[in-house]
Amino acid sequence: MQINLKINKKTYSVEVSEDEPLLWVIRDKIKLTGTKYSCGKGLCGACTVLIDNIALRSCITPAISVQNKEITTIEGLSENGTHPVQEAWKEIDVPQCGYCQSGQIMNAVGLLNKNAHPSETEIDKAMQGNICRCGTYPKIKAAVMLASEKGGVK
Amino acid sequence: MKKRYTRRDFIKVSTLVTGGLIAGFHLPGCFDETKRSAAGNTVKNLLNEAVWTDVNVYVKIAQNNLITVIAPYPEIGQGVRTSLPMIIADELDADWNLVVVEQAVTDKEKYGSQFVGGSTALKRSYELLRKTGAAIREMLIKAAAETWKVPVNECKTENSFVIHKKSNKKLTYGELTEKAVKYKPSEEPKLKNPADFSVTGKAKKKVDLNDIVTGKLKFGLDTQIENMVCALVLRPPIFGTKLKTYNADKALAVDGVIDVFKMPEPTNDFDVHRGGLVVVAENSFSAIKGRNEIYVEWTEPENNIKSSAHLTEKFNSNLKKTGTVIKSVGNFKNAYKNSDIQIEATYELPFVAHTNNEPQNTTVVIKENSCEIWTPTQVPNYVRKLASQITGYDINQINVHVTAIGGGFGRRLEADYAAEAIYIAKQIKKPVKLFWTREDDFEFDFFRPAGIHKLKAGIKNGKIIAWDTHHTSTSILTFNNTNEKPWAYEIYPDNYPPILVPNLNMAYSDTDSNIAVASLRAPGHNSTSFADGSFTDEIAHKLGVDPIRLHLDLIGEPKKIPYHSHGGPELDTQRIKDVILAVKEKSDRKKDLPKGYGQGFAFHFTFGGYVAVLTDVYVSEKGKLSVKKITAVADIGRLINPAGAEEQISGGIIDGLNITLNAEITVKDGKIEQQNVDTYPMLRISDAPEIDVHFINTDAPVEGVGEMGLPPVAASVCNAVFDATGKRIRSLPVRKHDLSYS
Repeated sequence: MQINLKINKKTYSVEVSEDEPLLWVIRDKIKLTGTKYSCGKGLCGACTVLIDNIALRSCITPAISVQNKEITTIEGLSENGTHPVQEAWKEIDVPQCGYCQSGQIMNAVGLLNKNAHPSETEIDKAMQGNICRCGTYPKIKAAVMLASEKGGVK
Repeated sequence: MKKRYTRRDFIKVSTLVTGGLIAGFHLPGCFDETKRSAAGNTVKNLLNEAVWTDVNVYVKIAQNNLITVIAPYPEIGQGVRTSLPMIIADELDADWNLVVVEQAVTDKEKYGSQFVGGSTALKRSYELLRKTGAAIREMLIKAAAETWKVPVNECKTENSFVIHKKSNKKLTYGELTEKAVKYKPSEEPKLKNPADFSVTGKAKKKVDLNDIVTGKLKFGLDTQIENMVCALVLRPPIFGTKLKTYNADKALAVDGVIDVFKMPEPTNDFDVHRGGLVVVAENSFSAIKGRNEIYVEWTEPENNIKSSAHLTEKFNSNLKKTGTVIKSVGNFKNAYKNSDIQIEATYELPFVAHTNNEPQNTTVVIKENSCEIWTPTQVPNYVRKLASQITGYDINQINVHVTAIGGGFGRRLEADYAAEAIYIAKQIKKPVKLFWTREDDFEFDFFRPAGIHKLKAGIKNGKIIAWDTHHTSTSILTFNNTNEKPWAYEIYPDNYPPILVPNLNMAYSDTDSNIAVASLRAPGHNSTSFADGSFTDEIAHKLGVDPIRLHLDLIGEPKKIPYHSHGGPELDTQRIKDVILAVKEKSDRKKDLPKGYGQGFAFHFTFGGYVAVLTDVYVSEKGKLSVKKITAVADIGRLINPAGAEEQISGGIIDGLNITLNAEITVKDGKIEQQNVDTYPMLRISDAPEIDVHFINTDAPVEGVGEMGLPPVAASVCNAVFDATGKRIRSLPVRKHDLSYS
């Protein structure tokens, strides 16, 4: 079926099947590859995007369920990495291989949208679903706190 | 067990390729758009107007003084795209802010072996890269001296400028390059005094940082080629099985599925793929849906491992035998018999998966006169050779483009997934992206071998006088049909601490298995370190001495001992002593901890690196373990990028903690039981302890850094758990043990 998706403020008309996850539509059909595939079951957070400013796992979200909603991917966060969370990520030099980091950043933005000044425990709880295989967790935590200190996401 | 496939020799020493004009190579560069020149111009703007002159295969310089440095090896998160160019930039005296980094083409003739593994990349390229930078610097000075008609010794370099000391005249490297390339580069240029290093030894951020946080960095799976199709493979469930019969009617009816066909059986000597069926589809999701609809039957395997319990039975039966003696010093039997105290313990380790965050994939386009491959690999030259063998094309017609890579950990030393993609492209004659699902990645991984270490020690007058190790595991080398020394990737005869015991016996028994195994970060060491580090702690407790004291007594007067495997040629016990004493000093070591709190120590020498760790834990009465803090002191010699070194040790520790607490692959009904991270728990952010890393002896020669942090973690955590609860953990992972106490 033909649906319209509003991604990073642009509207795309795409042909999808009913059960097609948003992740594959974004990656294969819209060709935005910053959103990553890793577990495919909503268990690792690599595919996290924002739907109406709430962090969601695109690999288990059917594309047809998010028509008429504002979808934001890592590419839509800022043009050149100037979003406060991206800036914090750069200042702390968080990534190692980098594969999970789009998902980590989008999830952190989702957290700060809801809670501009999370405690360490709240960060743990909110970021628990995002696996980093390289073990950058201490830096992820530091970057979320830095972004929060510098005034959150706005 | 029957033959799997033969293994290539991928370890070759890098060859010097300084000098000469080499035709242009213009791969997409990675740079931080926010970096600026002294005049305030952004690198992005400078790149747009850059006109490049190739100096050699590692360096090109633009008229506007931008410098491109080639990153010769794959980046798997270990930081070599930043650290290796730093080495060249330093000797070149380049302005690091105006350096952009490009990934090298895959070409052994130009770059020597480009593989990354065994923490070797830095060590094996260090001298070559320094000489490369220094030789170009000399050429630039010559060009300036000739321009100014002054002697070369009146000229110096600084931040991509040549300066005439007397007159303070300046020319940029960009202005001098065209002239400089006419000079023959020196084979033995004068290298900097380490005190003058201007780029290395200082913390630098990753060159790909901006591309990562904006989602622009292209990993293998992100490859997009015009008219590309997607492919998945349905593989035989385990080694030793083959396709019996299948029906793809339902799969072919799935929207977007193009074709289903048989993968060629792996029959050639060079074959490393596993056979099965191929599903080709218009996109990834159709391929996944299509594959789910295939009806298939496989042949029954022979002599396979039926279950994890079955494998343990085999291990235990092998441990009743004597095994192949791989090291014998003094007389273990007599010394053991005559000792005052005899201690014996066994330590069991499961199969562990690599779980690269980016599942395996490769994109291939076979053209009339060339074959283009985009792949996340640790062995690009090997993939190139394999592609030549599969396609019949000359090696010079094969272009292997190394993409960004979502984690290596040893898994991408295997090229099975690249081979699949090349075979599929050859068959369908279309650009194809072969990808693996997470489930494929678990089921068809090459696991860290499972095994058991049986250790014995004899103590006389408070000293360890006898040590016996009998190790059995599912040998990596046997799995690869390299049978001469099946123990060589499993156990190291010169390892500390056994090497210091005067009466020593070490034996190995190979346990036959059809479960695929291969190297995982710190191969062999990630297993022996748990056994040796735990056992030493057990001995200390039995003797009632502080475990650190026991280590220092065992070391006694420091000395240098020959070390015959990777990481040699010697083991310096002074360096062991130094990291042990340093970790004691740096950590908050306490004698009387409150109930439930514990501290555990461990040291391990891996591939030339010395790392001692002290772990603080808390265990609740109900048995909930929290690892609070891990303090590490590492001696890995000179640090190229201290920020990178710190994060590699820290990341290795977290990887080690995951292996300690969580990781376990089991076999059930002859198959791998775990399919995804719901049944294979992974360390999460709330489990990550505070990590405090220190480096000492940073004037010593350069070693690698990727693997050294991992090995000591398991023993230190389990020793800390013992300290806290009195419970000794002799098998991993820890999560399977009841740690409750009252």
